[in-house]
Amino acid sequence: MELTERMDGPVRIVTATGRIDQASANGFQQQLQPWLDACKQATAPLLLDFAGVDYISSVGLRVLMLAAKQVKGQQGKIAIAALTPVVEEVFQISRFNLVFKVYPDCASAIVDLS
Amino acid sequence: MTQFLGLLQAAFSCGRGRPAALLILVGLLGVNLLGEMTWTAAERGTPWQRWADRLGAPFHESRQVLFDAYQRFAPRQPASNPVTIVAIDEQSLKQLGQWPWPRNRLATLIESIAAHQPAAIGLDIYMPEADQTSPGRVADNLPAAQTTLAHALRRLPSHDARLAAALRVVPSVLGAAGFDFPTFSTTAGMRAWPLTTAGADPLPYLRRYPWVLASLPELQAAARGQALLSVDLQSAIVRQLPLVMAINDQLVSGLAMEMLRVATGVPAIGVETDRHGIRSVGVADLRVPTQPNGEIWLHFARLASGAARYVAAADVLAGKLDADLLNGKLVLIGLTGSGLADQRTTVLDELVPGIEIQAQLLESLFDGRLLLRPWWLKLVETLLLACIGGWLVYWVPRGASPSATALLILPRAGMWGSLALGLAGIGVGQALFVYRGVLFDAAAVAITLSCVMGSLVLSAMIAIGRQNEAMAQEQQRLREQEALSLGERNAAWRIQLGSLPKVANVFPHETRFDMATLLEPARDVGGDLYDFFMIDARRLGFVVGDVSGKGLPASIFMAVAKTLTKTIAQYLANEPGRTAALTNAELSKENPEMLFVTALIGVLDIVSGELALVNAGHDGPWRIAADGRLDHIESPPDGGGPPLCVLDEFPYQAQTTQLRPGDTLCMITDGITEAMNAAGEIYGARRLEAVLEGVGALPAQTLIDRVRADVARHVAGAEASDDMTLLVIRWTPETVTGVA
Repeated sequence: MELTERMDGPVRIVTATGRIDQASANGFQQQLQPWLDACKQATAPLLLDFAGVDYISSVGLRVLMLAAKQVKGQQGKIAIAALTPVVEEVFQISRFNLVFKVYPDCASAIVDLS
Repeated sequence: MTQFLGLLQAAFSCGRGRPAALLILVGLLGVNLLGEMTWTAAERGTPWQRWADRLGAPFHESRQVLFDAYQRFAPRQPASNPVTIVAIDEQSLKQLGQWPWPRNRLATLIESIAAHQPAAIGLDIYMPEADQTSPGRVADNLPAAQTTLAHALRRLPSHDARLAAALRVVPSVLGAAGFDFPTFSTTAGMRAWPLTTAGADPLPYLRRYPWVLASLPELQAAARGQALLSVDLQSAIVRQLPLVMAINDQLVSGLAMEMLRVATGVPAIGVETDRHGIRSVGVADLRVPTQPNGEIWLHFARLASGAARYVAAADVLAGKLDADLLNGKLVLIGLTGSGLADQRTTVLDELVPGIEIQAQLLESLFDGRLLLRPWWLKLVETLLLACIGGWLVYWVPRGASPSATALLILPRAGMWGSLALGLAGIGVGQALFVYRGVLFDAAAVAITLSCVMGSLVLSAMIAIGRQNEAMAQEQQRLREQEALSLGERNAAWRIQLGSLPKVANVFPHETRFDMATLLEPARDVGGDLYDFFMIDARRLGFVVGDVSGKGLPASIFMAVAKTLTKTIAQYLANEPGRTAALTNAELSKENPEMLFVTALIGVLDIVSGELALVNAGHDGPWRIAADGRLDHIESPPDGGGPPLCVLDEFPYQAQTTQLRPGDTLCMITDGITEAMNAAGEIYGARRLEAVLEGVGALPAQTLIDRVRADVARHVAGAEASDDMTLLVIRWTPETVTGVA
């Protein structure tokens, strides 16, 4: 799992691609960790761009859950945007839209987070 | 001892063996150089010189063996024939009497030889004492009465005088022997014709004797020349001969050069010296390059090849010989009878009289067959070794080319390689010997390069050994880990499956509902769970769940979640919403691994058919009506919630719905909908619905079998990555008269 990062205005956007399952969840978490550590009160909000993620399993959900907990504890802001249909369904079933703020695309997310 | 071996191993394995090999190369080169240094007479005998020689002894030995071998393979074939040996042999002694002969007989012999006009006559006979058979001496021994006889005898010339007279008229050379210690007849000086020196002083490099055994002064005075005949023996085999020596500070020639000087009538022998030692010794226009100590290596011919130059003294005296044998020749007179002659062993392993060696030396000079080991050859060899050795040390451990790797890895490849190199070197040496008369030390080359190769191979083998050891250790570690995780998996599997209730055990005679279950754990157990229990007489509670994560932690978490849910559900009776909320709160308190569990908690009133459901992040159940209609019960937007333990507190709310008699509820975990085939395609909810639609009024177990079969068809043998769970409940109250 390779994550790419860019700044769009005040928001830091981290883009993930591929599957987040048993094999890649660890790598995803390790790559994400530094940006999670940096997402605190008064620092740039973190937006996860999942346009390229075509599958996520419960292991991946767990990583997201831990991410949300950590950022919330640090009083930062984190959100997800651009879910693909399969991932959207997983989020719906597991009610993870209650855990994470989900936006339909990056643009609306940036507007809301800034 | 093991500590020392360990140190040795470490020394050889660092730097891919290069430091060790370099050290060996430099060490051997140094020892080789030390062992063949030129020592002046002053330095000889000092502890420094002795220590250097001792160090270099192995190379010295190998050099000798090699140079001897060169000669044995290609002994000299004599071309010229300048020397004739007049041998006082067994036959002569038998004919003319035992040794010592009276010197007048020697005089006669010399005169007989002189009659044939030889070029020079050399005597390998020392005569330091007066001849006891001279007439004067006989007279001294007569009884006092024989005065006339005595007087007559005394008027005759002594034998020594006769010999002196004979020596005076021919180009004669007397021999003398150098001694390191004084004995009965030794003196501290002898008559020698001065040698001219050019360049530096040759004395420091020469073999010097403090004492000499020479002939009588009157004989010395009569001869035209005198030479030293001592030959130092190196391990009892003659290899080198000095052309020039010294008695104390007096330079004295060896027999060969002095014979040539007397034969050519040149007044002096010339010695050329430079800062490396003696360069050459010469007479007239013959310049003989020598080793720095004034010696030359003699290229030996077989004794048999020179048999023609021998003639018995008796035959000469009797006049029975070929005139050509003596005319214009360099004649050497010496003893060859056994027991009297000094026998020496040559390089060709033949026992020959000393005089034969002198003859061969003269022959070599005429043949132009001179062997040389120039002082600079040693440096060339060292440089060659340094270059080849250095290149080996650089190239072999790199393993960059297949031949380098082969040398290191194939057993004995290094040995054969070294052998080949060594043989090549020796071949070159032999060729240089035969065609150029140069003595090339191929043995040192072979030995040094073999040792260097050996060191590199040894280092490679140690490295390979270590690698193998490391691999074996790693394999052992993996095996242990494997066993451990197998044990873990086994434990997880047993926990999971052991805690699942069986329908037949819990509801043995139940007719109000038909329940069937399926749980197929994946290889790495995935934490699926289901549970069912009667809350009270009319309420059936059930749970289906899926723990995030795998393995032992997930199994244990699953067991705890299951127990908690059941306990709280039974306690709260008919409040599945609060059950979920309380379970969530309690479970979150003891969750060190931060796992969560999706869950579907339901309470079915078996009498009324009222169903209360709480959906915590799980896939909702499907309801299949008796007439086959399919309906997916999804939780409303404000009902249900995320999986348990995602949010610490959440007000889960139940949704209620009414079942009709004959309705079937089908609950799954995502192991079913996300079952993948080899191409990575998931089974999917649509395909599941297609199977469920046709079920209608069939028994629960049949439904499970159908779903299972269809999933198996899709997966087609690919390995499952997640647990698959099915819980099917069909409500069949007593009032229904349809097919049960």
